[in-house]
Amino acid sequence: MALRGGEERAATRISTINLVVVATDDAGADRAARAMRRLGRQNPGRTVIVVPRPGTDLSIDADIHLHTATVDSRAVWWEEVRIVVGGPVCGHLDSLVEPLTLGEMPVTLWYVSSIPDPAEPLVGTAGTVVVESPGGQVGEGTSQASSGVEGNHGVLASLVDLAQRRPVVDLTWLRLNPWRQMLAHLFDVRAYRPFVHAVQSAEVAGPAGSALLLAGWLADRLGLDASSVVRRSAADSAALVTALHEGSTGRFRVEGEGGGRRVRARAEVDRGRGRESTVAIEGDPTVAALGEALTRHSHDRIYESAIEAALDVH
Amino acid sequence: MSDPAAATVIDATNPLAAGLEADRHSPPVALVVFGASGDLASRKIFPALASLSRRRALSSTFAVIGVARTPLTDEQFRDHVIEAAPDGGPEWKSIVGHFRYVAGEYAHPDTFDQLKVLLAELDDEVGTAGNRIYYLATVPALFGEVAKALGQHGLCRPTSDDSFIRLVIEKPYGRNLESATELDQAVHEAFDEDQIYRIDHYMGKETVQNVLALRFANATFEPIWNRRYVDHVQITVAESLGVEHRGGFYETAGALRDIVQNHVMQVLALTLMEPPATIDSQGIRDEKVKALRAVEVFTPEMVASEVVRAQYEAGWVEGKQVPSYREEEGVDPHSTTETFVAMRLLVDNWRWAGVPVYVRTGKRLPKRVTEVAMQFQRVPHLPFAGSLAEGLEPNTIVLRVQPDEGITFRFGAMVPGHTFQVRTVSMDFSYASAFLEQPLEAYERLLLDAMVGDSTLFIRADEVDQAWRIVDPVLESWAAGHPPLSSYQAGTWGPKEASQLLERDGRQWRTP
Repeated sequence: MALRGGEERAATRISTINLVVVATDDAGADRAARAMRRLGRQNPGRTVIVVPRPGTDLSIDADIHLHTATVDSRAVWWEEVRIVVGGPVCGHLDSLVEPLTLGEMPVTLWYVSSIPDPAEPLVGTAGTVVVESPGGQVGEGTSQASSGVEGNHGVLASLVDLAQRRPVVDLTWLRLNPWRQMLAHLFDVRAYRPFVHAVQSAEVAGPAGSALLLAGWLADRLGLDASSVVRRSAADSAALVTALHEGSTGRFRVEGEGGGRRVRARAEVDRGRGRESTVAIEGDPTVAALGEALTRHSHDRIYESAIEAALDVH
Repeated sequence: MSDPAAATVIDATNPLAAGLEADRHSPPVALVVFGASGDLASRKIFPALASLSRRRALSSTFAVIGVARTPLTDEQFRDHVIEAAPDGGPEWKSIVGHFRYVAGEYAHPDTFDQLKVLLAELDDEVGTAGNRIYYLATVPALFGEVAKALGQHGLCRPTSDDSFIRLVIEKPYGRNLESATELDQAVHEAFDEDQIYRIDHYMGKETVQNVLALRFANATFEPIWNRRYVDHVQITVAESLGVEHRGGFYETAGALRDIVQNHVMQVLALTLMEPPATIDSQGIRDEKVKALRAVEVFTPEMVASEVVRAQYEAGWVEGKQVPSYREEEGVDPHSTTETFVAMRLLVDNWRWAGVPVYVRTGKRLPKRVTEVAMQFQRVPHLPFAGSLAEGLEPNTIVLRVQPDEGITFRFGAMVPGHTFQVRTVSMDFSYASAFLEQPLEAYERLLLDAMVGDSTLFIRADEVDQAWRIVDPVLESWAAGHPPLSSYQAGTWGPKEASQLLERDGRQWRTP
């Protein structure tokens, strides 16, 4: 019992979520654990990190950590369970994980560095599946290296299939929010608004996953033919939209700078005086994206349309 | 809670904005702050704008025009804004770079001529698109004058079908029903009711809004939220602070006008209203008005028996010795202004008939706390032997508005041991430890709502009228000296008369 305000109060345990993480290696597991240690006080609950090693002998090794923090003078707990499994149980992770989840709490499943097989039983236990489009990160590699256009499109096809079965939250997509917002805001200016309905072409750049998502989003939202969207690789994500309205050419550009630490947006018509604005991306983008992902529990139709459209972009 | 017609203006014409609705942001707009060099602008409005900027909720086509008597250049005004709100992130300075300033008297036509020119310049240079929000952060006596002047200078009507003009008015909205009606008439000469956004910052607090979520998103509570199960309701708005440097203002207001007429009435209406058909500006405000309309009006005799007013004497609060109200800076040494009000209200409708609503508010109380406590009736029969249930209190749901926002449920539980002894325990829900999202500060929320055209959390004219209808008879009785002003020691929960108000009904105040 904790005493407060002259009343005797039970120190109530608050839990809001189960996060099940599947990492193909220790580095991925460590990355997930680090992120959740920063988010745990706002998302008290249980994190179960599973590292499957299917080619090894049957084994189950577990570590359990209990974390606590004081939030507004009251204690908040969150738990971290890490399990390294070997042998045939790797094909039945649902049987291992489900007994460890907190009852009555939503289950979010995060595949740190892979895209799950939509038919995987573990996917069926989750309310939401968090993934990360390959090559979507800036300055931090994933074990799932981009493997050319065909490889990326294969991943996209899996994501399309997965999104038809479960709500999917893509961290790469969430990290692109500032780019999407700033490009959309450019057309809030009344003089520029007609141009958004008269876009002729788009050019996108960036790491493979980000560029594909941007390309798919622009093609879908602007009704562009896939051949009108050009994609190239670059370290920072960027998009340039060119539109023709009543004889004037408008160019609307959004681009990352400083390894994605800033995003700059610029609009100009007929190379006249332009408008420009810049926002800074504060904090760790992966932690911020994961934090947002944990609050999402429904289908993101804009994302789902974007990945379908991205399948046609080369 | 958004007004679909207003909130989707951008989305309907900008396909790229779809799916970004959750991250609401300002449309292109010029926010004109009257009283821009004043305390409210520096303490609340500019920091709220800076925070919105940090959250990327302000578009690059947002600008502010400050209007005040203090002579400042544009550059000095921008420095003033940055000084008041330095923490707006890197883009904040870029946004503040659009800010302009008009120095002038509110009664002088030149002020509004200059404003008109600047607004046209911002439309051209920043892209504010003819959208304007006028924010009246001046002394209340100027509200009507400024609104009329905006009308006389042709600044109150949109210039096109897809632009908007809105007027935000701070509280207090009048000093009584008569002056509120006069102010309404003056404002309505220039603006339509749907252009007017009357602010009560309590409505911007997420925990106040959560009263709606608790009641109408849960099947558990609503069936027992009525006279069959509820014994009484207690609403407490307690402050540990005194009047600080606002003695002059407080002398003209008092606790009844400063807190009860607005904050308490809003919380009361949300707590007692019927379920709205839709959670939007019309649905919620219609039901709030109905609830307020059902509150029984005091006769002079009832004011004497059902209302307590008091003023604090010197005492100790939070370990500090504090002076009496009459010794505070800017306060008349013979002041009769009340710093504490307690009252017993009755709500004459099907749901609440016979359930008293006890309200108390005061300064220099032991702690800062705002809460609504719904105390339920006792069980009809206790099957435990007398001593085993000693100290068992009725079930209570407490909605904690501030601080430590959350919900407490108090219920009986068995004490571990050989005997079947039961005792009351508290089960707490705390917002701070249950959600990742950082709540918007009240002014942030309300400013953004005004920008996107969502008037749900603003006060409609008929709500103001109903609140004054309840409070006016009390003011009139007090003006006639009835009942006399009581006193209480600073650092206590008010005068003995406030305790007696409940004791004669066989009840007692909670100790929050």
